[in-house]
Amino acid sequence: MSSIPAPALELRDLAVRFAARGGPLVAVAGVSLRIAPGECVGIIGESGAGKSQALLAPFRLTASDAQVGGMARLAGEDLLAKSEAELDRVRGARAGFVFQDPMSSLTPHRTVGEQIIEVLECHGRAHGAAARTRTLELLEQVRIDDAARRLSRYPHELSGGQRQRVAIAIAIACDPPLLIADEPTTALDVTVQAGILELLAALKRERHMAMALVSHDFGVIARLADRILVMYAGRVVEEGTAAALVAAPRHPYTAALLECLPRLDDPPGAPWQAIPGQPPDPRALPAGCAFHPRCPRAAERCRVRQPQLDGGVACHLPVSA
Amino acid sequence: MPGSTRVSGGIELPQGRALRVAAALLLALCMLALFAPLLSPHAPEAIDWSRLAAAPGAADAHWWGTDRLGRDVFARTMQGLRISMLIGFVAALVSVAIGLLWGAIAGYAGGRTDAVMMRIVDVLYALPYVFLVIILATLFERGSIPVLLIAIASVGWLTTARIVRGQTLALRQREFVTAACAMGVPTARILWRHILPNVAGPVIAYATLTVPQMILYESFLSFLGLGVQEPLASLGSLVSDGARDMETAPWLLLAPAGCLVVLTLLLNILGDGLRDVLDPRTRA
Repeated sequence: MSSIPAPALELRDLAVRFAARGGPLVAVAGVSLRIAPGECVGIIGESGAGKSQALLAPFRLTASDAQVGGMARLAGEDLLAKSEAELDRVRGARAGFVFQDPMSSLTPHRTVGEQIIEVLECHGRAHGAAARTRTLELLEQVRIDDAARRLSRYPHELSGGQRQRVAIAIAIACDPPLLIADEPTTALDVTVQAGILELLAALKRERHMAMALVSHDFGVIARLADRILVMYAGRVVEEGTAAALVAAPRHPYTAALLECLPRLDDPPGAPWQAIPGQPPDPRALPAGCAFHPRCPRAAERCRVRQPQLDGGVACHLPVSA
Repeated sequence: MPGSTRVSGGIELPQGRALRVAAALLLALCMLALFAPLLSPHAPEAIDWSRLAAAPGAADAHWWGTDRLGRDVFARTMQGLRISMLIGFVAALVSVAIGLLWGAIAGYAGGRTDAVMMRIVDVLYALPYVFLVIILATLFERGSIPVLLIAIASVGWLTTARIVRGQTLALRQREFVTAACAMGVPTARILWRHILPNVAGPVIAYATLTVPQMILYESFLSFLGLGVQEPLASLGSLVSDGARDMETAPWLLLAPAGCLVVLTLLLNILGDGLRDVLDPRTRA
């Protein structure tokens, strides 16, 4: 059921550049991706790999000096050709967004209720008493108990988990067919994290919502995603179904990421696994494969020629299954 | 203890007491100025030929004496107080409104718009405002209150604009602004509902401090003879008149000057107090 007519979101060769001192900074260098209705795609990679940029730039939610190239379609409609006013009608209504830190993504001086109602009103979904009723329903759907009382609370009066639930309520207020969650659990502690992931899974199930989940945590992605994209230095280096990718990673970077996960059956005091070296500076990417300086399998051609995504992996010497 | 500040001496100083006292006194002063015509039997421009330059406490209810033309100093000073307060408050309101709008737009738009808008502010800063007022005064009726208001407000908004622009620039980077944008909230509404409420604190405090500044501007202009004209009086024009007879009739200077000092002092205390209360950094 992966490619029925119009995917919820389709990116083709999406590139995001910033004009920076010392040459253009390439944050995303040609990412292609397709999210079918009801499908959850996870995007994983280290900080600076371009995961958030790839998903936020088509909606013009990154720095205003970003130059976005390639193609981005939301349910078949070209996003890059839209004016700011047209995008205002898309954002929130046809694509909802959840950000990393709910403390900073909610406006501190306004109550939770006002912030949810605002979205409903901005998109003409409900006004006045109807908006209030709808807001209560939304808070119940994101499983905030005592919703009526929370309505008049300010963000700082809620716990981290409740704040993120409010942020999710705002994101789904207008029933968007697509939800983009940018590190939605990173700022939360582990138990709260589990609750939020469960909520997202339930929303996806109940509303048949397409979802793009950005994270640097394999644990988070693996629980929710149907398919996973692994990004490194602005490119997709591996792509596959969640089960296959976790069970048998083919790109050495994916394999290394999976090895970094601490396991409960590791002997106490076992050394932490880390990928040696640092992610490359996007202004000075190494020639050939961007991962080669850190790759244990790197050979001569890896230093020279950029591998293309082929059969789900962009590597000259993939790990064989 | 919440709501109080510990002073090094170990005394618990209830936060905002000075604020409340200043606000109460200010209110009392406003009432006094407004209801003075009911208290005093003398009209500000009425001339009492039998008592020219009479000392305070003279008979016939001339509590603060009379000037050389036999006009009652109390009535004149209260009229001056009314006009100075009117000009101060209106000019502060107008300049804060302009500054808020200008600063918020410049800060939110950023880039070239911001640069152009702020250079205009810089240029206006560099213009000596006295020249501006002299030009306005020659072009229009000298001493008309609307012209004075325009002249004063035209320089008053500059600092507000700078403050608001700085705050907006910082707020624009905050995630909740991106989040609001991500939910399809239009720009104008983001400015109005998400940015302005967050700059309100410092701006309200600054606005309170602007009022005495405006009053002093006006007084200065009136002192130079560019401000309010006879028979109307402002505190500044009264001080200017009184200064001429300082040696022979000091009450002519002391009455308006005293009122001016008390008024600006109270407004400054109020502004400082509000800044402490509204600034989130000083909040526990």
